[in-house]
Amino acid sequence: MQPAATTDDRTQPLFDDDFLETLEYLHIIARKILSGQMKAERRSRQKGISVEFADHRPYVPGDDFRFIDWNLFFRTENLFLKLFEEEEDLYIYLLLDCSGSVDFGVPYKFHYLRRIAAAIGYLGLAGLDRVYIVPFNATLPKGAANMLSIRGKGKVFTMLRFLEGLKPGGPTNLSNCMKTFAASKRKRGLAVVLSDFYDEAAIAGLNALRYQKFEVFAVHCVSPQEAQPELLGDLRLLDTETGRFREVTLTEGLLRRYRETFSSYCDGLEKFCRKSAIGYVRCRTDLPFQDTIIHMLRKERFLQ
Amino acid sequence: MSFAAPLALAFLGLFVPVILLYLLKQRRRRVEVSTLMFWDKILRDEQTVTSIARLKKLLSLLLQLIFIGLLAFALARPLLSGKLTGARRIVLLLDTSASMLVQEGGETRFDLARHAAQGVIRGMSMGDTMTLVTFAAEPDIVQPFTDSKKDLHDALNKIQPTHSATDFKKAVKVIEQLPPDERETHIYIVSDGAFEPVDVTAPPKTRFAWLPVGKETRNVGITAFHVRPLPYSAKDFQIHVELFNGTEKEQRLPLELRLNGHLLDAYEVAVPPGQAVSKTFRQFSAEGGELEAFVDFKDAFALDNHAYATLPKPNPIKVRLVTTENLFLEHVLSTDDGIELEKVTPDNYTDTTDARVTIFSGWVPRTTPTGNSIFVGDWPADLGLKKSGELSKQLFTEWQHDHPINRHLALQNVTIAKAVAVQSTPSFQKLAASFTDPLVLLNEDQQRKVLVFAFDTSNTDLPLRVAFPIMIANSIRYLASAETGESWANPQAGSLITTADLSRYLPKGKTNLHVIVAPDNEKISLENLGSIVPVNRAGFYRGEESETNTFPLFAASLGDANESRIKPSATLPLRAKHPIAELKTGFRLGFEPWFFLVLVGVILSCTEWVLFHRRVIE
Repeated sequence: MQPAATTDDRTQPLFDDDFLETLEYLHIIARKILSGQMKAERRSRQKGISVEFADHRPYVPGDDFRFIDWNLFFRTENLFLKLFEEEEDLYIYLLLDCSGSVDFGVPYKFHYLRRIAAAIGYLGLAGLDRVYIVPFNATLPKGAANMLSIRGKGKVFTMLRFLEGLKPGGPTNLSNCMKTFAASKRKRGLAVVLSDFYDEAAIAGLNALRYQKFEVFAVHCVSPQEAQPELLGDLRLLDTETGRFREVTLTEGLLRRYRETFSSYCDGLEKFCRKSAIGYVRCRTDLPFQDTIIHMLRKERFLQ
Repeated sequence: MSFAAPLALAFLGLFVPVILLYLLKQRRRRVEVSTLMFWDKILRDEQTVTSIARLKKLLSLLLQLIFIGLLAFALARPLLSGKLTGARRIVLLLDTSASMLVQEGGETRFDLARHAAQGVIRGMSMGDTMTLVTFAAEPDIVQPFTDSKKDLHDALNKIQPTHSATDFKKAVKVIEQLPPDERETHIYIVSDGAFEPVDVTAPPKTRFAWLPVGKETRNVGITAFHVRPLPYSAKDFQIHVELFNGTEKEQRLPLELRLNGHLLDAYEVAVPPGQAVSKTFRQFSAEGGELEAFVDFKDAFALDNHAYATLPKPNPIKVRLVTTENLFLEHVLSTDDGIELEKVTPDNYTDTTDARVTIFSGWVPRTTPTGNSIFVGDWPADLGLKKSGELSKQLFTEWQHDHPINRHLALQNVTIAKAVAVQSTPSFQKLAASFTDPLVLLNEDQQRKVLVFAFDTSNTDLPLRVAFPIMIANSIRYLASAETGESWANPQAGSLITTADLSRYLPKGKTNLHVIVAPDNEKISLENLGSIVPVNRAGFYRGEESETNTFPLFAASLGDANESRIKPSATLPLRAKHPIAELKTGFRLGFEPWFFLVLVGVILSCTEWVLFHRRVIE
């Protein structure tokens, strides 16, 4: 396991021209993927009043007879109501982990998470959705200045600047943060949690969102040094999040047990997400972030 | 307990740096990780046994200290007393007889015996002493009692199997004559046991271990091979061969005889299984030489398929007949091919001659000649035999049957018309007589032999009898001290011969012999040997005249029925009045204590290594 990211890696520009081109490319890809499935940019799951016909249902006394489909009555001599899809703004909440544990790895994990967040945010802004960026570590930020709420493609650079200005550090309390966020009287929407999920109570946090009718998507970011550490001998392990250390003599046997435990944790989280209808994607920081986005769009039916 | 190298105990001082190194806390490399969540989970089990971990740490130090202690002790080479270790006195008897040359799957029995003996030597413990004794025809102490395994191995590696038969009795004598010792005596006998069991009176506290070698049983061989010139025909010789069949069915064995490398004759001899068959053949050779018998049969033991003998070159006896005329004698002497006859008339007689025997008939010199003489019917007065008249119509009534001159003679009914009455003296031996009157007298001293016939051949019917040529031949050979067939014999392989015996084998005209060339081309210098010459190898022995020129001397063969019966003995070939204490010949660790100390040290080191790699230091 390498120590935290090298200085060079951390100081690399987070968003450059290439990155912006990549975002546009992802948008085109997303449009292609989504175009065969819907006519509007984004459709709510709610039925309501709009121009888009959705379905019929039998008339029951008390229904608004303005929506009776008379043409169908003449053909069938039964009363049916016409139902229309309700169009609304989609709220995309990007809950970004900014704890000390993401301040780690080569490639730099926090850079990776922010790029993912930027990509998702761009897709949301391009779809005229409202995008919220909520950084968190042990607590949620207090005050509107520490969060970002934007709408429209023109706000892309605002978003990027906001992401660039974030600093990682401090311990994680994902569970509490999610509970607090879910309990706030926000409009329900898509909650994308971008984190390494190094919190024993991470599942409780996801559940809290789920219970409050948020559509939840977990982006699980893993550094290769965490998944396959290459360490042996007498070591002093320092937790970058808490500053706590452990002295340990690492043997092959112990490493094997670590890998098993790590893999078991990740698999457990994924299994929970699948079971709970939570979108889940695990991304390694040594793979291109756009692949993760495409995977989310194609396989996980993200934004559909 | 004492130490062979006590200075090595100074290595115990290594305790100090080891303890110091152990007390020094190792500076660990700092590595940042994103979370300790997983490490905490893994190391939780280790933490629950912190006390055991500390104990392991202490145990690791303890193991290192024990390792250094053992190493120092091992280097100091501790010596334990014999009583403490149960030291033994070991006698390793190793069979080097000819049967140990039997092939057993690519190796000889002797190779197997050597491996077994090496195992016994390796099994020596501290305080043990061992002597290495080989036995074949004679026992040989090749290594006196020693505790040095190296010396024993060196001595063992030099031993070679012989072509000798086994005389196990002599080897047993070595055991019986061992001096008393307070330690237990272990006798290891490494052999194929191809000999008869022997009685033993073992010293007290003696135990025997039987280490048999070999499995092969299939063998045929020549168990006896003798050759001799016939007594009355120097160019004829007789061969006696005994063939043994050690297989399970009757064999028709092809036997070849080769003289000086050329095929002389070939026979086929039927030999029933497990039995020996003797055959006698008569052959002719004017030259003599080296005779080899060979049985063309493929078996495990090749040595006894060959037998060797030398034949002396016929050496006729020069005889001078001084007579005016004696046809009987003349014809008898001239027809004997072992005699070279010279006929001399009384007028030409002189005392000086190179003839080995001079016969006087019808005429006698005034004085008895200095050489060997036979007088027929008359003799010189200085011989000391007085004539006291004449005897008529005499018969041979008694004669010394066991005297060489009278051998094979049948003189009954031989009549003598007229003989001289002789007054014998004590210096004459009466070989034949007519009642009290001597008819044949012999006088012998160191210089000469004189035989007197008291009758003339013209006054008896003896010349008409078969006994006459035999009697003349016997007389001449006796007087000339010539070798007869009975006295001609080749030595057996493994025997010892004296330098005096060697002169018997020297061809005529060869007087000086300094070097003998053995069958394996080894040169035996007689000057270094003294008076005893060992005959260890089967084959032809030759005298060396020069580097390139040798001449036949004698031959040696195995010729032993016991050796040809190669079936190994499964039991100890010893008999005793009291039950013989036998040793179990299992695997025995024969190492000095330092070896075990090092072994324990290595095991501890491995344990420490495992502990190191399994430890978790909090």
